[in-house]
Amino acid sequence: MSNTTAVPTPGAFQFPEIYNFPPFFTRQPNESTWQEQRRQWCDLILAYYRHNRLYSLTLAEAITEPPFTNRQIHRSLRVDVLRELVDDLVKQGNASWTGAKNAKDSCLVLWRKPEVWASMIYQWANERGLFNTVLTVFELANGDDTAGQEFHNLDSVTLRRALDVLQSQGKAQLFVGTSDDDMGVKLFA
Amino acid sequence: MNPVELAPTQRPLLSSSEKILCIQNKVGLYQGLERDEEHDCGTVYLTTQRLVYVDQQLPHERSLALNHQAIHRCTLHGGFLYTSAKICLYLKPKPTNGSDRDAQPAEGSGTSGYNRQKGAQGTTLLETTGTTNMYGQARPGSSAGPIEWKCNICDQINRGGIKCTLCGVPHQGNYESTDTCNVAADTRPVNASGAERQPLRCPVCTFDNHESMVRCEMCDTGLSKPDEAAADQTNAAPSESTEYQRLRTQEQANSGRDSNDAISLIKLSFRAGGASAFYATLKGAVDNSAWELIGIDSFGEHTVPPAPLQGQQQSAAVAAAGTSAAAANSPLLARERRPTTGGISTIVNTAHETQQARDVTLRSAFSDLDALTAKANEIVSMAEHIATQLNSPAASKLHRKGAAESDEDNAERVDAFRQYLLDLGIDSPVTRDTAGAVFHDELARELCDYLENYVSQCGGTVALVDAYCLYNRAREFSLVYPSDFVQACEKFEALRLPLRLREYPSGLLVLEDASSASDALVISRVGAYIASFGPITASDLAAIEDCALTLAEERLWLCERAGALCRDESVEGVRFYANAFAAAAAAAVGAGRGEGDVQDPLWQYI
Repeated sequence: MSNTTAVPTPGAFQFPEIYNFPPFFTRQPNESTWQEQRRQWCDLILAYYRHNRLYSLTLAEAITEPPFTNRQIHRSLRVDVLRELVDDLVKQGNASWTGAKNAKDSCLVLWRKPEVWASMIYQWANERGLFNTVLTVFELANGDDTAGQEFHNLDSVTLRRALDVLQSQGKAQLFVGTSDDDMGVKLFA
Repeated sequence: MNPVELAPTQRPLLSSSEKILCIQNKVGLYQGLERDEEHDCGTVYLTTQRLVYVDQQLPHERSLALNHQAIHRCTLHGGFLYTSAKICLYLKPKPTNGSDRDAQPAEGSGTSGYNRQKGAQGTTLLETTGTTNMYGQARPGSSAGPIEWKCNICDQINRGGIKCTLCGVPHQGNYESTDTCNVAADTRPVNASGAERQPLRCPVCTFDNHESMVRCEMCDTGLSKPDEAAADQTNAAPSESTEYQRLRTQEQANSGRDSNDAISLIKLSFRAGGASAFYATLKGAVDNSAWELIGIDSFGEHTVPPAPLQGQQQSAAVAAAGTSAAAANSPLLARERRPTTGGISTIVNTAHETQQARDVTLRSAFSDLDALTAKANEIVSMAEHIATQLNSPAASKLHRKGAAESDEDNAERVDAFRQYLLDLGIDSPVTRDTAGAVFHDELARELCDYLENYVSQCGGTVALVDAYCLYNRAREFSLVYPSDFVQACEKFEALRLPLRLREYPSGLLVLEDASSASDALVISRVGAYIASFGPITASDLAAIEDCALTLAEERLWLCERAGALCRDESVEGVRFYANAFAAAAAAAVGAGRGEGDVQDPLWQYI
């Protein structure tokens, strides 16, 4: 069961019962059955990634690892089925394809929507009174000030997304630093 | 010889067992020693039963036939210089019954020119085809037409006939043809009434007495029957047919000799050769016909006796010479070598016997086949009878659960018997010939009859290929095309028959019992199996339900489509589980969408 607390859950991920059901790993031909199966898979993926604070997914590699493989029942999800699942997640807004277009080899699992991240960051900035202050992106993600925050050690791509959202909302402004890593952001009230 | 019927092709019409052995053309006939002008050139057909002469000029009027049985002996005289080869046929006389005069052939047959008899003859040798009148007065000589003659006695001008119409005296002489049966010179008393009796000629006063007389009326000398007289005179001579005697009455009176002296003789003159071959064949044929004489009253009423050859006896000029010559010849001829068995005759006999044996065998063989068929029918009807008896009580026994052991045994036996019945085959299968236009309908009905039991036995569904194989095996020799089979099956619904043809999405065709088979039943059944046995594969199901593998697969797919099962594909194969997703979905719907959804407390900020 995945938990919804802000604190990273300690301990191993608790897989749902369906995870040990061999047909779970077979694309069901019956449509209604497949719908249900897909739903459960998406939930599982998001929950697993949230639990382990994983952000990116490379299909070819992920197949051999949990959650897409259940060693105990010797079942693995097939790549094309996973691709179908990710497509579904993308449609949901919980994932986005990265890498080459149409290659669909790697994606970003957005178990928390960028908007949510953006609002989190804005909230924190509001609390610390860091409006109109230029901050580096690095500082935002890995600074001591953000320790304890959800977005601490946030994946850079995800963070970037979130900041883009803020920027589109007009609450922040990004500007390029000396290098790509030195991106700066200035939050406005 | 008798007139013969010809086919339009101018060949003689043969009886069923008659075969033509030899044919020779340019043959002329001789009456005794004299040429028969009317039958001078023609074709002779030698058949197994008779000798047929077909005249060349007037085939339909002048053709004659002579039965082999009437031939006593035949000899061959080779040709020399101007004379052509000749075969002499010595005819057998008819056996006398009582008196010679009585003996009349039952079927008198005369031919033109041969049937001339003296007036005394009366109704002898009738039934010629128009060549004689009912009194047996043949048209003299040629068949050109009746000849007018003047009666010596009463000066009456007569047309044709032998006897004068006024006074009844037979015509004497004045015929063109050579073979006048007459007696021309004779003036013997005429039996005007046409009595069939031949007058007895007194040896002393030459008065013709009634044949029943013992003593001459005039001179009162004893009269003896011509038979006896003849027997006295020429014992070696072959007895002649009584026709001769009748016809030669005058001669007898004249010569005072017995008619037995005269020997009937026909000669065939081969003007174009071929005599020797013909002779050999003729001998064989005559010998063969001699076999058939046994059992048949020879010369009796069965065979048409040969018309007497008036031949030499008749012509007055040669009468004595002829008879004497014939008489002289006869002892000679009598000493000739009799025909022996061997050569052609044996071969022909063997062939005949073989053919008869074959006929007998065939007949008996057919009767055996019929007997076999009849018995097979009996057996089949008996089996069906037992089947109907078994059907009602046994069916209930089978379905009863918790049956006693004896019942189970009975059920097994009933099953075995049912299997035998199925194997027994179908009597009178429907074919295109028998059914014609309604072939498919009839085929459908027959299919239903045959397969209904089997289908219900197999749980209500049978793969079409299985049904096809079973049905064709039952039909044994008149098989059905697959396309016909399928078409007939498609008619089940239209004809409201209990079976149905069903096509699954995978393409599998099955025959289903319309009443007993249903999807829900299958689903529940399979679900029960899974509940008890765990996840099952198609082969597991086939083993459980004792059905074909394709059918088991089809059933599982059916359940999956219905959402009752979900599949698990792996390297081990496809295994089917009860559908947990559906259960989970139902639970999720009931509980609202709980897990998996991002319940973010910060959501509200968006």
